[in-house]
This record gives sequence, C-alpha cells and structure tokens, in this order.
Amino acid sequence: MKKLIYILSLGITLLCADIDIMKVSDTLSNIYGVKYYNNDKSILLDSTVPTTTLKKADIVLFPAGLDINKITIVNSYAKLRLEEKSIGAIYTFKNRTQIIFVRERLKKNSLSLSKELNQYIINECQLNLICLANHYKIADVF
Amino acid sequence: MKNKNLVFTHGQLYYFMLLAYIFIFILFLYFYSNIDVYDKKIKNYFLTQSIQDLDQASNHVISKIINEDSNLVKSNLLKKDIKEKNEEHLSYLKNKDVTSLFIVFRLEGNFFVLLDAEEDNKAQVGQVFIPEDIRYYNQVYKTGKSLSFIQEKVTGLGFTLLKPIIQNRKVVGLLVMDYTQSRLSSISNMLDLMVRYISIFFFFLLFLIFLFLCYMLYVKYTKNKIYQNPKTGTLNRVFLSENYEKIDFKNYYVALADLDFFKRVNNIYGQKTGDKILNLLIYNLSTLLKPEDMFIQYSGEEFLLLISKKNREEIALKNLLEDIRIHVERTRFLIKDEYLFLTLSIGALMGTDLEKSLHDCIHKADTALYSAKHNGRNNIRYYDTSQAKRIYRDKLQEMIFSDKLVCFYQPICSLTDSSVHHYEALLRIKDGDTIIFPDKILPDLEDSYLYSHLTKKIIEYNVKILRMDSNIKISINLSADDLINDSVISLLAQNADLSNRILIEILENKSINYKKVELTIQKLKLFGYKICIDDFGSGYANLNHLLNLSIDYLKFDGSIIKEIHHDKRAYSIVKTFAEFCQENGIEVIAEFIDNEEVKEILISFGVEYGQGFYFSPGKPYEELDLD
Repeated sequence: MKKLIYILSLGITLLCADIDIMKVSDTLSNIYGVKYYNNDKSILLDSTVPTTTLKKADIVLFPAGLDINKITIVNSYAKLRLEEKSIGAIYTFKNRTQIIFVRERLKKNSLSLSKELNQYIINECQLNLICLANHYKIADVF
Repeated sequence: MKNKNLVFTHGQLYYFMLLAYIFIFILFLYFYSNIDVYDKKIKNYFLTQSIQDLDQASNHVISKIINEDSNLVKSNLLKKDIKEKNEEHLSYLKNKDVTSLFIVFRLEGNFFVLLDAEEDNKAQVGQVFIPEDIRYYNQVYKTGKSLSFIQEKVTGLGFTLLKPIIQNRKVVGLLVMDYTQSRLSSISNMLDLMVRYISIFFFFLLFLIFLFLCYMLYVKYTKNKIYQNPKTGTLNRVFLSENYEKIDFKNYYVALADLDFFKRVNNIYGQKTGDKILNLLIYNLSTLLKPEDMFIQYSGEEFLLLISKKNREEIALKNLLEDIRIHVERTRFLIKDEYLFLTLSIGALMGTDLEKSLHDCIHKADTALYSAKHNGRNNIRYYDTSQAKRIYRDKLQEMIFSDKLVCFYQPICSLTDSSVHHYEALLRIKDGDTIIFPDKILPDLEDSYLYSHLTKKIIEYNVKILRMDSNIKISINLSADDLINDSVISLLAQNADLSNRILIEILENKSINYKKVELTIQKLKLFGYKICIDDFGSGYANLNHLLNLSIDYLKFDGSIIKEIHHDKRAYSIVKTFAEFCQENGIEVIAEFIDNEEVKEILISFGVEYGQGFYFSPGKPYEELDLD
C-alpha cells in the first residue's frame, strides 16, 4: 500500500513536472469567491491563490487518493473525462501546461470564470469522441 | 529684421537642432522599448529560413498521410487502423532533435489532438489541446504557411515548427514538431549574430541620419555667418550675390543709400574709428525697418534697402526714407572731444514691378542716388520711370541727330611705368554748357531704337579721331545687343583697317546669347579687333562671360577695386581672378584707381593696367596730353 502511494505520488510529481506555476496560480486566482485546498504539496502555488484547509475549501486541487464529496480539479485528461465531480484539469502535455475547465460543470456548481479564461473552457461534448463527432458533424465540417 | 528665411539665425539653428534631437530620441526610445518584439520577429523569421531542410522532410510524410484518407480528420478520429498507420508514418520524422511530433485540428476555436507519434504520455483520441500561444497556430491556419517560433514560455523545448496540412485547398490540420534546446542553440548563435548586425545597422543608420541633419543645419547656419556682418547682424553683399535669384524684388521698393563724404572720416580719424561709426549707424538704421525688410551693406558706406511693399503705400516708403535721412542727420558722434555729424543721400525706385531683374532695380536706384548727390547731397531722389523717358527721349533724339554727342577720353595706363596704353571713349552729350553723363542717358534709351543709333554715332565719332590721330588707341563700349546688331558689325567691318587701335569693351548685360555673341567676337577678331569684358565683378553674369567668350582683356569694375585695400573678400576676389587671367593669357585692367595703395596692391597681383582719377579723369580729345 505504501509502495503504491509512493509510486502514485512520484507519478503525480512526474506528471506535474515543469508545470507553469505562474500560469496556474493566475488562472486559479481568477475564479471568483472560492478557496482551494492543494493536495499536491510538490506544486507550490502563488500566494494570490486563496488556500485553506480541506474542510473549509470549496475546491480540492489534485485529490489523488482522497475520498471526498467536494468539487475537484484533477491532474489528467483521462480523470477529467471520467470524474464528473471535477470541473477541470491541470496537467502537462508535450511540455505544455494544459488548463481545462468544462462549461457545463462550472455552471452546475455555480462557478464563473473571468473572460480572460474563456480560452480554457470546453463543452462537455468535446470530452467524448462520439459526441464530438456527432454533435459537430465532423464528416460535414471536414 | 528677417532675412526672408534664406538663412538660419543663431536661435533658429538651436531650435531646429533641438527638434532633430527630440525626434531622434523618440525614435530611439520607441525602438528600444519594442526591441524584444522586433528581436523576436527577426529571430523567428531567420529561424524559419534556416530550417528549410527540416521543413522539406515533413512534406513527404504529410503527403503520405493525406493520400491515405479522403477526409483526414474523420478517418483518423473514427478509424483506429488508419490512425495507427498514420502515426507510424509520422514516427519516421522522429530523430534525436525532435521531442514531440503530433497533428492537431481546430474546431470552433478549440484545438484537438488527431495523431500522436509518441508512445510515452500519448494523447487520447480527440484530446483537447491548449496551445502555449494560440496566435501562432491560428496564423498558420489562416495563411496556410509554415511557421517556426522559439519556445520562450515552455521549458524543455527549443523551438517549434508548425506545418499546415492542406487537403482540397483547405487547412485541415497542423503538424506540430517540437525541437530540443540543443538543436535551437546550434541555430541561435547565428540568429543572435544576425539580430545584432541588424540592430547595429539600424542604429548606425539612425546615427547617420542624425549627422546628416546636423550637417544640413550647420551648413545653413554657416551660410548665415558668411552672409551677416557679425557686429551689426545686417546682411552683406555676399548674401546678395548668392541670393539674387531668390529675392522676389517685385515685392519690395528698392533704395540705395550712401553716407556723404564718409571717406574723409576714415582719412581723418582712421579706419578703425570709421568702422565703429559705420557699425553703430548701421545698427541704428536697421532698427527703423520692419522684420520683412532687408538691410544689405552694399559696399563700405553704401547700403541697399529692400523695403517690403506689404501694407505699405508709396507715401509710407517716402516717410520711412525721410525718417532714415533725418536720423542720420541728427545723430552726432563724439570723437576725441569733437562732435561728428554725417548726412545720407538716398536714391529709390518705387515701380519695381515694371523691371526685369533686381539688378535693373538697383541700377535705377543708383541713378536716382547719383541725382541726389548731384543735387547737394543729404536728400532723397526717386527714379521716375513715367516722366523721365518722355522728356529725355525727345530731347536725346534731338541731341543725337544734331551731333551734340561727344566723347571724353580717360587714359588706361601701365601700372608699372604709368605710360598710356590706350584711352577709353566715354560718352557725353553737350547741352549748351552742360555735359550730360551716360547714366542719365542710357537707362532711358535701353530697349529703344535710339540705342543702336547712339552706338553707331559713337563708333563714327571715334573712327574720325583715329583717322585724324595715327598714334592714339581707343576702347569703345558696346553692349551684347550691339554685337548682334548687323548694322553695328557692318560699321566695324568697314573700318577694320583701324582694328589694331580699337579695343571693344563688352558692357555688363543681364541676358546674353552667348552663341551669337561669340560668333561675332570671332568675326571681329578676324578683323583684328581686341575684345574686353567691362565691369567685371559688378553683376552675376560676368563669370559666364569669362567662361563662354574669347576675350583679350578683362576690366575689373570700380566698385570692387576701391575696396581691395580694406576688404579681405574684395582683395581675394581680385587676386584670384588676376591669377586666372594670367594663366589664360588675358590682360587685366582695373578701373577706379584713386590712390597709391590700391595701385601697389594691383601691381602685386600682376595686374597690367589701371584707370582712374589717380592717373587722370576723362577729358575731351583737345585737352589730352598726347606726348
């Protein structure tokens, strides 16, 4: 069990390697009226991001190994697809920091982002390949 | 008092230099503050150029991928086997310099991964992709052209090449190739060098522009210094001769003012005191004028006033000139416990719009000044174009046709031994006991039929003297118009047997047909006549005479000769042209020699002959001492 947790932590750390802390801090601090609990201590967020205890937090960041009933932001695309409680994901892909939020989930949790973050918001349908292909009529578009 | 913006004053120079400094500084600041932007743009451009070979290799792979599918995005999203095959094709581009290799497509502003050649951390099918700088990606979609850029925001990457995938003339996707930092560094040294050279070149160019601006301003300012009397700030004759054409004389009244008997002041109190008095007087007089007027020191104590006609009627001009005259009359100078009083004579021309050139205006103002001098000095005379011609022409016609025309003869002597070389025939008209001088006659006869009659009369008169006296040599003044007058040339040809004792002096003329005149000169020289340019140095056209006509003699105008013993510029001009004449086999005559000092200077220049009151005034033939 301990070994598993260690490997997971390492994996998370590796996954989160080279993450753009400034970009992430800037994004998180632009979500109005929320407080965070950062479960990944290897990621040192800026002081502009309001953090608190797990109990008082509105959103939990990178809740790997935690069994909680709170809004989360996960650390992979795969998890974002699977976990409906997660409103977004922050991870690196091809050395690039990826920050993604799902519109419908934000709305469901009465969360709003400032206009500058529109570039990070996708629709729920875009997470699902079939929905993507059908909804956007891929064959016709291309 | 302004100089019509033909030169810069001291203050204007600093003003324009300050403007130039500010402009250059702002330009420099702008580029310096945006240096990162330009640095990035230039580097990205050169990067694109330098990785052409890498770009070429990917074309082959892309064409393979496209050929496999009729619809690239649909097939690769929905058909696993096609996707895997294409990812295999893509993997052929992998090498040690490439860290990532994937294809993305855009849908409603968002990007999604289509193909990923990597095995580790491989993207899921249709995975959302957030670009590090979406502008580059959108630009490639828009232009359909490859783009490379240095990765500044992403650690671990050197640079990225984005290549459009075009199917059916539409960009359907982008191939993203990330290169390592080591690959970048091999190129970046060259890029840094290029950017550095471009920056140096650009700043050097700015510097050159700045130097050029400073030089232009300096030239203007230097001209200002040459044109101005440093003690009084007024303009001098150099300004006039260099800006003749630029002055719009029709907008001015022209007046010539001359201090009466000022030479005595120099003789009695010395040149230095004389100059001090002059400078003070000039300064005071110039303050009576408006900024749009011009005050030009024409010669030592002679001033040319160009009075602007703007908002000034003729009565206002008359009042102004009278004020100037009275100001001089009432000014007293205390010199060694003695008071010195001076007076001023002024000649003016008001109807300048009828004249052809500024030179003509000055000439007529000079005529009026002459009249003022002859009428007791300390007064003002106006050249009257309307009445004078009527009176004079009628009377002159009568005089010319009734043989009242005479010539006085003034000797031209060798400067070394004072022997007489020849005599200049000076036109006079005898009106009872009164002798009328040519400046009273000739201006009114210009452009009239009487002029050529007069010329022929002068030639006939002198031919008579030459036939009577077999020893005397005479020079006759002819204008350029005379030289292209067939009847005049015919008369000279008829008397060609006397040509070895006749010298033709060509008068100063504002416009001259050099071809025709030169043709005539050649004819006359064949007859044996000698040719001289008269009044050299008085007008701007003389230099052209010198260059375009074949002459034997050159006569310096008196206005420049009388200054050589105290004016450095007059001294230099005469010396230079005397040397020029010696080198070109032209003999030189200087007129208006009225003292020993001037004569000695001319001898030192190698000038051969002189004329003037120092030798003798003009006299009738009967009074000449021919022995």
